[in-house]
Order: sequence, then structure tokens, then C-alpha cells
Amino acid sequence: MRDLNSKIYNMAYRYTRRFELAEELTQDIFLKVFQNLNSYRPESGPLRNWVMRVGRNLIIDRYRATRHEKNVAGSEELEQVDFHVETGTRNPFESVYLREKAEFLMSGLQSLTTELREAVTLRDIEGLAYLEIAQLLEIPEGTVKSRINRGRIELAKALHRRRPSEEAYT
Amino acid sequence: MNCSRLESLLSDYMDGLLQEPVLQAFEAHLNQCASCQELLDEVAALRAQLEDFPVASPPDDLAQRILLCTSGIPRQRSFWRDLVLPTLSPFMTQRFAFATGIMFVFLSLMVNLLGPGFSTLSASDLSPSAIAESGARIVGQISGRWEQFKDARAGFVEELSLWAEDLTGRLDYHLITGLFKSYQESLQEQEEKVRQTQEDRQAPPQSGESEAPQESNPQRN
Repeated sequence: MRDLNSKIYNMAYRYTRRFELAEELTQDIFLKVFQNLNSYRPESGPLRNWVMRVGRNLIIDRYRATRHEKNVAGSEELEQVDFHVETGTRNPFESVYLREKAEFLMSGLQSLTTELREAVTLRDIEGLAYLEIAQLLEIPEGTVKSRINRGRIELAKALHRRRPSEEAYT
Repeated sequence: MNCSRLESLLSDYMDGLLQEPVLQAFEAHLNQCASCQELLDEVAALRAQLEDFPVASPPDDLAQRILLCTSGIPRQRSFWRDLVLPTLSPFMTQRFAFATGIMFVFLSLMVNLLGPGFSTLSASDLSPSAIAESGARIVGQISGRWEQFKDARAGFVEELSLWAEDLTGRLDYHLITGLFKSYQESLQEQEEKVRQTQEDRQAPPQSGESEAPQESNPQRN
């Protein structure tokens, strides 16, 4: 549950960009999971995947309506949260560097349109397949591929403009 | 294959989905175009960064709170958490703090200009009666200045009207005088003409000229 908690929390933060809102959203997602637990069918896949799907649906439904609003996190919020990478061992001394890296990537993602940001996040950060993304967003698979391709290119260009030096990606 | 076409096929290339002859054309263009090669390298590096996106650790008590809200146990209400924090949270933002700072600077400036200087301010100046007194004094100053302004405005308006009247009078005088003068001149001209005509009529005939007209002499050859 703690592992799912972390995944849902980070997914919520990537949409809200505010940690206090991410906490509230995480609680709401788990509450919805608990309320709809009877609708889970084991033949549809692992419980973990079903929980993530419920979370994404709730986030998309709630924040699609407010896509025009800017949610800019204050810098003081980032300092209260510890960052790490999922792969490898945790290194507390890397937290500052990882926090800056996360903020750098988030700023680039925020420069994309909502459609491109959704597609790139679901594919490259959350690792969903093209078909899963198409079903989740209710769009054709070809449109998903096109948005992911366009989103990657625009994100790369946006991050290059922000920090053109090689150190940005090391 | 051009740069635009290559961009549209970038993700398929990285996923290994391109087939001949498109793949060959793609790689041929890549070998010739430095900017496309650079774009490919950047997008590939970006994908790696996104797949290893830094993860934020949720608060330690979040899991407990989630278990509590899904356990069916009535949640214990907290005065601080349920009433105070939600009320204060809209004000605990950078934007509100900035606006408050600007307002404070503005009020300080206004008090400094209209009220007693901060260097001369003492504790007795902050008593309710002192504040009321200085407020009444400020109001009196403002109303006095307003009366002065009204008087000055009235005086200016009066002067302006006198000047306009004077100007009008001067204009009228010059106009009438000019008209009268031109009328006089034309009258004099007329009189002169009449006098000349009369004199011409009364003038005697000139000498060397016979008075009776001579008859013609038939014998005169």
C-alpha cells in the first residue's frame, strides 16, 4: 500500500504542482478506490494497475475542467519534500539535485499544451502502453502516438532553451 | 526525406518501428543533417530522464490518514486542522504576502506625508484621543485647503469674465469706429463729386469764341 501511496502521490503532484493539493487528491483517490472496490475484476489485470487507472481517471476528470488555471508551486513547498529516484539506493545527499532536476523537468512539461503533457507523462513517466493511453483518454491510438511524438520534440526544445548546456542532462 | 518528415517519424524510429525503405531514408537524412541528429540525441536523453523521473516522498502520516478515512471510524475533528488552517490557507501565499507588503508601504507613505513623522512619534501619539485629534486636524487642513481652492477659483473666474468683457468692448469700439470712419469718408467723397459737378455747370464760357453762329456766304469762293 505504501508503494502505491507513493505512486499515486507523485501522479497527483505532477498534475497539481502543489504538495498539499497532492495529499488531498491522494486521499480522495484511495477513498474512491475503497468505495469502488467491488467493481474490481481480477481478470482485468493486477489490482495495482486498476488502482492507478482509478487514480488517473479521477485526476483527468477533476483537472481537465481547470486546465486553463495556472498552478505554480511556491519554492518554499519544494524544500519541505524529500526527492529520490525509484531505481537504485536512496542517497539523501542527492535530494537537492533531484529536486532541482524534478523542477526543471516539470517547468518544461508545464510549457506544453494539456494534451501533449498528458500524453508524454502517461507514456514516458508512468510507462503506459499506447493502447492503454488511447483507452484512458478516449482518443485513437494514432492520435496518441502523434501527441507523444510532438510532445517529446517540443519538450526537448523547451528544455534546451531553458538550459542549453550539456550539464542539463547529466 | 526532409527535417519536418523526420520529426514526425522520430518516436517510431526510437521505438524501432520504422521499416525499409523509410528507415534507410531516415538514417540517410540523419547522417547529412546535424540539427536533426542533435534533436534525436536530445529527445533520446529526455526520454531517459523522464523514465527516471525523481520521485517525491509523501508525508509519513499520509498512509495513516488514508487508512483512517477508509476505515469507517468517524474522524476526530480538530479545531486547528479543520477550522484555523483552512481559513488561513488562502492568506498564506506569496501573492497575498506581496500585496500586504505593498499596502503597508503605501500606508506608511501616506501617514508620513499627512500625519506626524515617525521620528517624532511617541507612545502618546497612538492613544485613541490623539489619533482622533490628529484625524480631525487633518480633515480641517483638507477642508481649509479646499475652501482656499474654491476662493481662488472664483477669483480667477471673475477676472476672466472681466477680461472677456473688456476685450469684447474693445473689439466693439474698434469695429464701430472703423465702420463710422469708412462711412464718413464715403460721404465726403460723394459731397466732393456733387460740388465738382455744380462748379462745372456754373463755369463761364472761354474768350475768342463768337456768340452768334455764323451763316454760310454763297458768294464766297
